[in-house]
Amino acid sequence: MNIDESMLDVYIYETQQLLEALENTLFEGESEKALGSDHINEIFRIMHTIKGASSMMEFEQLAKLAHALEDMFSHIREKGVPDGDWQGIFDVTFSAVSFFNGELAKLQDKSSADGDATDILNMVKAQLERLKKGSPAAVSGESESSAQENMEKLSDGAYMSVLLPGAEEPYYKLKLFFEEGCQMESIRALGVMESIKKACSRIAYIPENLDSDSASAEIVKNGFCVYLQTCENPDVIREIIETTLFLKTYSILPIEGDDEEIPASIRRANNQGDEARRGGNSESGAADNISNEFIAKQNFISVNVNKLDHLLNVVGEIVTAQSMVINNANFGDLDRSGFDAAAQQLHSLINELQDIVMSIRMMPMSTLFQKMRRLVREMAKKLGKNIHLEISGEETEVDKNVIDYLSDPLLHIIRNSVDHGIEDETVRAAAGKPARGKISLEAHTTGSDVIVTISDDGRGLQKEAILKKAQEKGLLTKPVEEMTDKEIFSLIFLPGFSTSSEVTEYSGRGVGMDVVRKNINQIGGSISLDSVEGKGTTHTIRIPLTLTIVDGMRFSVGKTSFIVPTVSVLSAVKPDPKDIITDPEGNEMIMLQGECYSLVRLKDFFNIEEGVTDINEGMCMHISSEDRDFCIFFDYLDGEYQVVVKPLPSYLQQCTSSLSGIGGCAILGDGSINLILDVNGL
Amino acid sequence: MDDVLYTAAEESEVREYLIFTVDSIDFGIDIGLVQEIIKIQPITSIPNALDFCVGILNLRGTIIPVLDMRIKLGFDAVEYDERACIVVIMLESELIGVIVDMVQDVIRIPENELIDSPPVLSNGRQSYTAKIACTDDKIRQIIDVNTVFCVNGI
Repeated sequence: MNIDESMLDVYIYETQQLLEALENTLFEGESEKALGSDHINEIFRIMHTIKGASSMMEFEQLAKLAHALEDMFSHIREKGVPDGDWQGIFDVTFSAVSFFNGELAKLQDKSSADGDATDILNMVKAQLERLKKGSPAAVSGESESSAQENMEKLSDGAYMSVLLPGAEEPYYKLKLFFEEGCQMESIRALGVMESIKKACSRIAYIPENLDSDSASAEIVKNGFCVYLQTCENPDVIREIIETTLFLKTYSILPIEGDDEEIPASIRRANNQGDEARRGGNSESGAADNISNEFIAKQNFISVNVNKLDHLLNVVGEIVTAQSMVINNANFGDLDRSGFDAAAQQLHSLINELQDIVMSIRMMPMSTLFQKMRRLVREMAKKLGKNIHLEISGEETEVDKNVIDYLSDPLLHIIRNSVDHGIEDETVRAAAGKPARGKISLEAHTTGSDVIVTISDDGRGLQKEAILKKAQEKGLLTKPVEEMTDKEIFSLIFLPGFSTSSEVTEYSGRGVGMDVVRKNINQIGGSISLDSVEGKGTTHTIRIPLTLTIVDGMRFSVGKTSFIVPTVSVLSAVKPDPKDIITDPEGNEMIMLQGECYSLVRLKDFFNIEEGVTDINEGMCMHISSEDRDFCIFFDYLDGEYQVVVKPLPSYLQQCTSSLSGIGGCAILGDGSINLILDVNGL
Repeated sequence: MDDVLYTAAEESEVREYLIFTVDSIDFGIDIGLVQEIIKIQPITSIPNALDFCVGILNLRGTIIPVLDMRIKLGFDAVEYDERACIVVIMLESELIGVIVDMVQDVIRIPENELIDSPPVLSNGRQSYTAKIACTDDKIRQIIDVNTVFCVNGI
């Protein structure tokens, strides 16, 4: 990777982070219908950083847009918003964020950011004009010049204005160096400065002009030097600084009041206080010089996902190889106690390694949910609906791959909910519902699964329409009267089914729920749907937390060995023939702890030739699948294993009449292959 | 001698084929498709498999399906003897293992010695045999792997 590319990566990564923070702020503000001064400062800072970075990368359009937004928020900060007309501001800013995101996506795909920001730019400018006209106190020209002035102060001015003159507060000198080759030092310096500003009463920095071309070079050479006065404990400053990306080292030193180094601008006000303290402690500074140098903690690095995938694969192979070694060790008459201890230690280390690798790959769902928020907002605006997206559990962490696979299905379901589910305000009012539609998106974990539910309070699914459509398309396999609600709803997951008669911009583009289900099935997950007509629809997606390593119980039927994920097993029992009931159609059931469950003989289900048929000789396992509890009957139980799940080769689908009930396979320590039972397919 | 070979190669492309036997008939497949040849090893059978599918096999960490060439080509199943082996073939992007009675040799056949086999059999099914090679007084059927193992060929 050459310098330009790595620089571009850093730019994309950081800008995305900033945009995400910006969006969060905006959503927060939107729900309160106004932005607090903290929020405005935050947005201002973000825009300023993006502007600087973009112009450095020579993305002119992006820089211009950021600059225009910066102007707008600077005006808002100065003059406030007349009549509390925030909505226009939110709209403009959101469109700008979409534009930024679009351009970043282009850059990520290695194409050039060639989008034309003129339209949005004009919108921003128009909005700013409106704001200016609206401020009764300020004549237009005046406010412009003061906004301009304020701009100057922040972006070009070296010395920050005095905020709170605290005469007795100590001074500190802060010096930081960034990692070599981290690029855009001046922008980073500005970020540091902005973030510590909050904790300080006065602040000044060198180099003074961070926007100049030479600033970065100077920071690389001499470090970024900040003088500040604060009543806070230096630890607070330290904490703030340590969150900075690409920070190499920094030092923070108390300085004496009369130190020549302190820029006049922040010294001027408290000469007197300084005089008083001049005497005693002027010698300690030099000693601190050495001891106060810290090696900054490197908090984050970004890693190519392919490397993590590779690492995960290797760890999976290590797990397998380890049990191969341990199970095949043959010592004859030799003492093996040393070996056993070592093996035990190896085992726990490998477990730890595995946990670490897994945790590296875990990501919170928040990015994904954020995307949905944006989608709902945009769509609702365009369709003229009033919809509120309620999000909970966004901190739930899942494997990176799971997030990637989940993105499209979620988009699709939410599009459906907004487009078809939630009614227009008038219709809602007529149905006695609140005018504002609600979609809730929720994630939580249960054991080894993540459950994502998407529910809306819209019109729900119309059973009649589904049945009619299914009939037309010849998708019905049994008489309508016999179908349960669940069966009717599951019809919409069939390929070629789409009840929407017209194609709208957002949904109904021929990609139906069948694709959603396929995507989710691919990662071993499942989706189910529940709906009450007129009340709403709930989608429940269940996906495994991680995709590759599971704890399982091994059992055998004839010569075939199966592994069932331990989380699906409730209990294993030696069945008593008198607990077995057979109904007139020959279906077997078993009484367990006073409850009756259907009994699936795996030998019959999988058409395995050998195997136990006598209830007395076999074993039963009480299994909990997604929608029911039942028992399976097999020959004997074989112990507990931790296995690496491998997908079945896809060519196998052409070699069997049915693969239902088999979720994958696993290679055990002895090199043998075991089939993994898919309890939802039984 | 070199000259002769050179001219022959220029006239017609020479390709290499792996020759194997199934039910005492010689077949050939393009050597470029063959990844390796391994001896018969324990194969895990899978439920509800069609008759020609023997099961799955662990090839150094990769799971590959194993098919029986005898049954696939319409011959009766027999016990595998010590000469039987598994030919691992790259089928599009997937590996599959194919059990054959015996692997004989790798031979070079110039393109011009191959005869096209009739494209469609009388019963309307596509023929598995793409070409027929007559070299060294022997007839060898060159198999079109994609036709044999394609879903439409079943």
